[in-house]
Amino acid sequence: MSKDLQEQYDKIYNFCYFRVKNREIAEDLTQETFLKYFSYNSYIEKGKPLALLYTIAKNNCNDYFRLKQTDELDENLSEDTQNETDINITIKTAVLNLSFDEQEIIMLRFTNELGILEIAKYLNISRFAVNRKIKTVLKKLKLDLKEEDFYG
Amino acid sequence: MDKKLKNALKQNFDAGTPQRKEEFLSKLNFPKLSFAEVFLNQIHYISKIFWICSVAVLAFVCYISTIADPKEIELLSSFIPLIAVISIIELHKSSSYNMEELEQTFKHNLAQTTVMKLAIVGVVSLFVLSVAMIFTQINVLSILVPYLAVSFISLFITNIVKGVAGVYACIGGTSLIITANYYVVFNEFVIAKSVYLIIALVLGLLVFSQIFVLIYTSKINVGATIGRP
Repeated sequence: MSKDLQEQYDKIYNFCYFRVKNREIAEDLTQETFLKYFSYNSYIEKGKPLALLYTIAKNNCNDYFRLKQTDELDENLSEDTQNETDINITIKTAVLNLSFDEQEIIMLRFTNELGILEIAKYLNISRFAVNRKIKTVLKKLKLDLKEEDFYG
Repeated sequence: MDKKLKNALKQNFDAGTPQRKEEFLSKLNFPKLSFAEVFLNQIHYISKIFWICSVAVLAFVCYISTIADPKEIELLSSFIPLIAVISIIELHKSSSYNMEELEQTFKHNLAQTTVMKLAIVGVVSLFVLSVAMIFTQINVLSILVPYLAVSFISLFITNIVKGVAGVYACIGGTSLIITANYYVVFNEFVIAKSVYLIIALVLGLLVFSQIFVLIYTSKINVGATIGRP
């Protein structure tokens, strides 16, 4: 099995989890994303664009929300708060102050390590706009974190 | 951006290890490229310079053959071997750009891609040679001998001297052979047809031996360099 595929599986799983906040469902959606992605043969021949993978994952998550109510998901949020260090709690609080779109762009750039071009393709905006957004979000985060004494 | 914030952000969105990954990926039937598709894909990786030079040589030979007189056409046999040197520089592109180690780790490794590229540039060269022979009506041997000599010397040099230095040495060697051929043709030295045939056969065998060395070294050389500081 290709290493790249395994890596992308983890990243799409992160992405789905970020949206649905439930590990079981995130994994189901990840698998559905890959099955759909590989059914688009024509896209694979054109160099496997990652943006397509993320768009399918996003659509799967949106479909899931359309079918289910979010009540049961809130229960699962508590499972993340276990075993967290002070730094994690500080950063989590700062990230929660950001809008959903801002959180998403940060997640794509720093957790999933997507390139600026890939993010631009996924969000359907220019590379400059992505750069500008990331800079603005980081500025906001740094300000928040300074107040929280993140840098000691 | 500071490392602490970068790591903290990375961890913040990390969902942990998925539980059913191995099971799913082992069963996933994703489309794979066939051998023919991989082979045709190699055409994209052959540099534009090779294609441009091939077309230029072909166009030049065809043009000259229509305007020059028969004695001058013989001098074209010094020009046609340029295709050989361009092909061999193309085959050694991995070495000249120091990408051998990386390419060895690919699914279709360096030896396999070298053979595929060799087949493509071989077919193109054969086509150019055939068209040149038909247009110019030159004796087959007088085109083949300098072509094979340039092929042999270029392969021999690039198999020994790796990297960009090999490309320069290869161009130097080619220039020598082209000059020698030009001297022979210009002074109208008469060489017996049988001698020419023997030279062509010997050169042909030498070219094959160097091709074998090229493929063999692209298989083993890389292994020897892995782990080198």
